[in-house]
Amino acid sequence: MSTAFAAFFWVMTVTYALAVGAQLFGLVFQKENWIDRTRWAIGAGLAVHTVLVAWRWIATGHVPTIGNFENALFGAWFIVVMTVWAGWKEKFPLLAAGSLPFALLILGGGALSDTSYQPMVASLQSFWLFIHIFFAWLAYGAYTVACGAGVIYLLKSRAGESEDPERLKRLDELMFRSTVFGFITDTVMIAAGSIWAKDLWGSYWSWDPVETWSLLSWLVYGVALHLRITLGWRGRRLAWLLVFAIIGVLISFWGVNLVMEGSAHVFNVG
Amino acid sequence: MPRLLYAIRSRVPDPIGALGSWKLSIVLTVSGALYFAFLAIWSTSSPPHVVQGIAGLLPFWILYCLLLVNTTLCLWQRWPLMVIGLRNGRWEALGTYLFHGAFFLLALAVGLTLLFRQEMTLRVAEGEDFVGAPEQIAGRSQPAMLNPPTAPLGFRLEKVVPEFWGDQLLFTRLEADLLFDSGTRKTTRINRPLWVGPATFLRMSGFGYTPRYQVTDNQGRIVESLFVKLTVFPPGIRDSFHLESFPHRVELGITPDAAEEEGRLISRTLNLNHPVVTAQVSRGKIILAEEDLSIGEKLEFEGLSLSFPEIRYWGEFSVVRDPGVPVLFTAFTLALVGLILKLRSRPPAGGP
Repeated sequence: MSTAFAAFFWVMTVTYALAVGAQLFGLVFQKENWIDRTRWAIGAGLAVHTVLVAWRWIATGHVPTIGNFENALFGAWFIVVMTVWAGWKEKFPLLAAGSLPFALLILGGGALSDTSYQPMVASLQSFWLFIHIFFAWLAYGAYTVACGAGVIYLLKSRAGESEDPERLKRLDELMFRSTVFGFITDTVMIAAGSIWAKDLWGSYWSWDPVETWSLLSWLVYGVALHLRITLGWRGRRLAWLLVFAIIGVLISFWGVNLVMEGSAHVFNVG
Repeated sequence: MPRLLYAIRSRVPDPIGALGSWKLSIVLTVSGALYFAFLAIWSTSSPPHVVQGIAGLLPFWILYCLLLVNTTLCLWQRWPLMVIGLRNGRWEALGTYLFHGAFFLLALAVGLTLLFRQEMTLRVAEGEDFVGAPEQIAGRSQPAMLNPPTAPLGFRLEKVVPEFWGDQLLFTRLEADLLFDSGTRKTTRINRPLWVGPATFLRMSGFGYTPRYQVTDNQGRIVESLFVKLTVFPPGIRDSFHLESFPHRVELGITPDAAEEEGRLISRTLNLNHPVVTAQVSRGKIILAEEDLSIGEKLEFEGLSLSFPEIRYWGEFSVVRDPGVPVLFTAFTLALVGLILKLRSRPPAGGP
């Protein structure tokens, strides 16, 4: 990437990191004004992030979804946008402390990858690809928000914490609704991916590792929803489940391609 | 046997109710997740066909069947509530039915795929008619469990168009124009298959070079001229063929956009702009001649000369017949409609 792009990228990343650090500081040392002020920093970081996504889109001539770097850039943008929206809607800015670290991890991983421009190769020129990736990022963003809300819930509901029960109840509702939204978009992602796989490889299911892990994640979140709706799991039990459930999502996106090379889901085309 | 049945009956007085209980739903769903966790971990160290084999073992079929039975009974038990809800204008119960009902269609789709799916790989050169000749068929999948005859397929490959990103092995375009026996002309791309029959689709899966070689005698008469489909892409890969009328073997590679750099032949791009054929003629173990030939240039050996007047492409196509595919798409549609109907209502607060 160019020097100017790199500069903006690091400004954005450092801004997010400082915001997360400030929120954690405010959480640990109970300084609410630190948490409130981070809203402006996260907003500024998101503005720079949006510029970077648009910049990359214009420079490459295609949606920035090719390669680990572009996936990280665009995917992290979804996570931040959904975190900001949920935090603003629920008036819970501390939510970023739970979910933005995932965005930072993704951006960091992307920065270590090849950042050169990649063409939109023929195998990716498919309407179903864009549906698949768009809903994948919606799902992962929602699951990250749910996990972040779970982390905050666990921290705020510990013995000795004097959090307002009404806020905890809203946080619990946020966990559930985010999971529902993530599950629906995850379903669309898997369906679109199957259709695209049929077009590209001739088979709608190949037991590819990324496919298998994605289905496992979908099942885990399905179990979480059943436990909530049927058995009434809420609060700390649901929070713990959502915190662990994100592991499957992380493995689907990163873990498989780090561990093995045989997956057909290779995000880098070079 | 009667004692066993009595023992079961005394412990489970209402077996149908037990099979349709929400408790069993949770147990089976968690078991399913654990089973997929096992498969997912296995998939990181084993090829897909091994994972597929594990997924098809008997215990897992039993789990699938129990899940379907449980879902059926759960839906049956909730039928009156759904009818009442629909009468009161509440659609979320129907959404639940559609979403979970899609699982049955999904199971049907998988079953149809396992029973009927077949795949055939074809190789056809530009200008060649596909007639199902053995030399045009590069591979077939194992016969499906039930194997009804396929509908006849006939077409002419008019043109193959590959394009690359500079000198990198990245296709920016790979498509083929086909003229079917019915007179229709269609284009297929690497991820845009054509439906060519009931639950049958044709897609492009690769390409290669098919040079026309020409052998002339010392009086300039053409004694042999044929197209040969070779696997010589990407540059560096070599393939060979035998002359029809002579005991000679020709081994060659093709540099698609040749240029000379520091005394050696390189390819500026992967597009067939300025091809050079590196040909070696041998008889038995004796190499008779070897040279880099541009289009039309001749290689002399034992009173004959070999040239390559033109190079075309051959296209590789995959013809897949899978009646599970339309059923699968129907299942997806039903599941999504069901989820959307659920969205119309506020999710329940939870609790049994």
